[in-house]
Amino acid sequence: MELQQFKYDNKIVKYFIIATVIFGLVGMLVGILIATQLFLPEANFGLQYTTFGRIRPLHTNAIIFAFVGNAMFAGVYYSMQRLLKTRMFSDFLSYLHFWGWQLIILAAAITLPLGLTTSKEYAELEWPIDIAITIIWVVFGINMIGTIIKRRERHMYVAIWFYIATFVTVAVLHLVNSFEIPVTMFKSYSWYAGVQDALVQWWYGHNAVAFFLTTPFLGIMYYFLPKAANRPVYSYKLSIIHFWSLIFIYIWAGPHHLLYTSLPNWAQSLGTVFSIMLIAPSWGGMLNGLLTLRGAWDRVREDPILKFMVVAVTAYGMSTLEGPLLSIKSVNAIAHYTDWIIAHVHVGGLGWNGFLIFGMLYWIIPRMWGTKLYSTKLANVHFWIGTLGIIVYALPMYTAGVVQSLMWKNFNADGFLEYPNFLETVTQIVPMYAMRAVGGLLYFSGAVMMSYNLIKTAKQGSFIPSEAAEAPALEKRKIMGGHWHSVLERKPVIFTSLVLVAILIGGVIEMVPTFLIKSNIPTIASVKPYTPLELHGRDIYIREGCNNCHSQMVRPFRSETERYGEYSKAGEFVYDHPFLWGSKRTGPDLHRVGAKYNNVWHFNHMLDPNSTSPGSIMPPYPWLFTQGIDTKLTAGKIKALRTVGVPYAEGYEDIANQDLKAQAQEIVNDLKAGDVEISEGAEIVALIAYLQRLGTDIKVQPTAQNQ
Amino acid sequence: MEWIKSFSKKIRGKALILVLTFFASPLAAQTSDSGISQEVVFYTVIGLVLVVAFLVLILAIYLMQILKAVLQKEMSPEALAKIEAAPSWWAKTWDKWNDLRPLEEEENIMLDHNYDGIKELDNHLPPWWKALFYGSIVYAVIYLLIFHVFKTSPLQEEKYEMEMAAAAAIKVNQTATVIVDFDESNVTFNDDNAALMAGKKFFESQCAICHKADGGGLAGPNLTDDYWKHGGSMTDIYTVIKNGVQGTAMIPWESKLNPNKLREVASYVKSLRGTNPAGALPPDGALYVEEKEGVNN
Repeated sequence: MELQQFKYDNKIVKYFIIATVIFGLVGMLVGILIATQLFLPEANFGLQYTTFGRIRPLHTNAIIFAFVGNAMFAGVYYSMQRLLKTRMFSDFLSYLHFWGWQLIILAAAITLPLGLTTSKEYAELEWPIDIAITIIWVVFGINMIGTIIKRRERHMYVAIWFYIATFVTVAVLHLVNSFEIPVTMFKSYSWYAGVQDALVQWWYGHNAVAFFLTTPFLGIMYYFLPKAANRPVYSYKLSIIHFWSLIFIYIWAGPHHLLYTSLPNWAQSLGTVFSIMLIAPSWGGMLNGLLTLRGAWDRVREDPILKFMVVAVTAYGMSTLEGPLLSIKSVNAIAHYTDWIIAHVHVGGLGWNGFLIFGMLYWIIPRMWGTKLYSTKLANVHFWIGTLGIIVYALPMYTAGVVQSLMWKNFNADGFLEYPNFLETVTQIVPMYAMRAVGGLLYFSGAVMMSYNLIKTAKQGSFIPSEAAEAPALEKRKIMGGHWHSVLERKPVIFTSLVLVAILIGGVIEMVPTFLIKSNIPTIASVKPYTPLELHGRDIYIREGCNNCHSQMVRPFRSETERYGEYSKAGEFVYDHPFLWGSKRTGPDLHRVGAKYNNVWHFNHMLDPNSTSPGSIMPPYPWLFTQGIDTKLTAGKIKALRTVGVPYAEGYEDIANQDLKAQAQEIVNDLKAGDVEISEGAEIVALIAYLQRLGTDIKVQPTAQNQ
Repeated sequence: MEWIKSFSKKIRGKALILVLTFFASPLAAQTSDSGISQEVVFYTVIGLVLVVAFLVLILAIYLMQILKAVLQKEMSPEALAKIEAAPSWWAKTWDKWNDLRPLEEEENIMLDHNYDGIKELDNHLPPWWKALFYGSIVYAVIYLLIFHVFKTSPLQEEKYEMEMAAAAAIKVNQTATVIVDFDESNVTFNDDNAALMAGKKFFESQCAICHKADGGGLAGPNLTDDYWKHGGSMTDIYTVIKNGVQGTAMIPWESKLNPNKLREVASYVKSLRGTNPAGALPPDGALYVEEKEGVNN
């Protein structure tokens, strides 16, 4: 057989690695900043662009899509060429992918601080950027499939299976969750409302974790871990079983983010049981990684790369056990909305993704620069300081989560809440927030050491932009028989189609009934669409990212109905495009805040939270008092919402601003009676209107009837 | 598992104790200022017991290591070699549970796969892993049957009703034991010092948010002067606290405080009159003049 000569493209890998390191440092730094704001609210610099609600999404997006995303592409481009014995399908597509992705990140870095957001977690970017993501993802997909088609290796290795699953599923998730109706260039409303929006969002959110943070990194593990350990993969059989079970089961588990909410019970139960069934498939990956190290454990002690990988895989195993346990409803009742979840995701993020990326970078860079690592000792220090960082981060957050949750639920002997004031439960855990920032700082300093080490390594070697390789061409001949899975491994198109089927089943079974069967969301006659002024207020609520700290979902527990009021019903959210249930209560739930305080209270509270709530860690929002709402947008908002099914009367958009002015005047007059002067066009007036409306519709007609 | 040993060596000892005591502290702090709730005590004690048990375990393992080292020192080289050669109970169990095959026989199960130098073994699935997977599937089926087919276990709405009913039952029992010989029509000032202190404590934790800790008023009116929006008699104050004021931030406290506690808070508010705190809000509402002596005291 004649050997063909070709060259691996190392330059594209180098590009993605540089982006990984830069955005990793930036993303971590933003993380430290928002962590600091939770015990020192002044750390928002008094600017609206750097306030927690706006830059918490910046942190999550920077880490997930810029740091982990670029690292994923670096790992995929490096390993795929070598596993398939070919250069990437098209250099043009490779670099289009790279620059397109960086432009998307740049757009995110600009729009998120400006408050241009859809409010949907990990999908905050507005519609034009969503379209750009779709295009660039397709570019990546074509490049990947093209490379697979022109491969010189008959069978696809397990890493490639995971890459295929990543591409297919993220495409489906992004497309479905990003359905939105544009209002202006940078404003849109989700196509779905309330319960349905929540279901779609967390089907997306959960599987973004699964198919952006997990499957590509399992692929990366399957390449770099056996390489670094120089050991054969422990079990091919395990690879097959855990791959297919993982991708099939993962997609069902989204509703575990919505336990005890207004999501129909049957969907919640599916979320719980599929999460439990996910333990073994996840652990299959961990086992195959750890058992591959059999016979190489003596080297783990010396080699920082293996150390990083061992902790990464172990952290993966821990968080994929913890996740299913958190999906058991009685555990979830304690942990949800608390810092426990923050600890959980950071064990996964810092441990699994971070450490695997560090291990991968320490392994790749010396090879692409034809040299040895500049300092193994410094890498070892990085390992220990990073590990310490994870522990110092996670332990205070676990403690904070459990302490606060118990305080929320604690009743005294008289049958009253022991801590009726939410703020008490916050001030108790503020020291934990400070500890957490220290943990983050330790982890960050480790990453700085790595950057230095990698730059030094690159400096002492010389970069090999194109690495020569040779392999025989793939003969065009029919091969019959073999193990059934082995047959699949040489049929990429059929393989990809099967992956698509596997990941569609769960989503379809959960979503279609929720959308089509009316009994899932019982109608409440007294629930009406928002008034134009409230609509503006709601958009301000979204812009400021209030949902990052405040939930709008009172769960059916005595401790919550005593504290907040009647538990939330599915029918109350039918006009919520998007839903704003939130996922974390750094502040109290707001679903029943309407009519609870007077307008002056809200006015003072937003101007200086400490004046009404001493010790509050909420920042002041002075800009809401000087900025005005743009009433020219009212008509567009009404029309867009009507398109997605909110029953505003035909032609209402033409007179909506009259209603808006009347309602604003009413609030301004009421404020005046309380000795507070404000112009009726100010944003705060709209926000107060929205807050005072929240959760009040069912009180209008106490006998809410189910249809 | 050499790496585990080396890791445990690194973290053992004092550092651990320090860290654990630190994390236990917020629980302790929680109980200090608001009376110790049983639940908190329970979790704190259980937590401490677990911490101690954990430390004892670490110590025991450590002592065993020392003991082993001492014993082995006195053995003949042959005996030592024999011990070293025999796999430990742990290693045997580990191999069995994972269905591990000896490393020497690896060549027999090496597949003819070669992906950029990566080879794959044809090892069996670990038996315990298979059991875990089957077990979780059985759990899922039983779970769905219990909640959605046989409906033998309550769903969240029903569970909530049960929780509320249980709480209401307790409350009924309690109100039966609490002697309340007054209502808003004839409530009187409670000059008992303990009662006033209890009222003060509640006021400072809850009412201060709007009325300021000294009663001088913030978002809510000044409670220290003679001007009242809803009347300044004991009856008026008690009623406002009990029922709240519609359309304002003053919420009804009836569901959160029993009548005796309401009376304590109302009495404390009443006692603020004339304290003239610095920075108090200007008068608001109508002038209230104390009525006949003895009735409202």
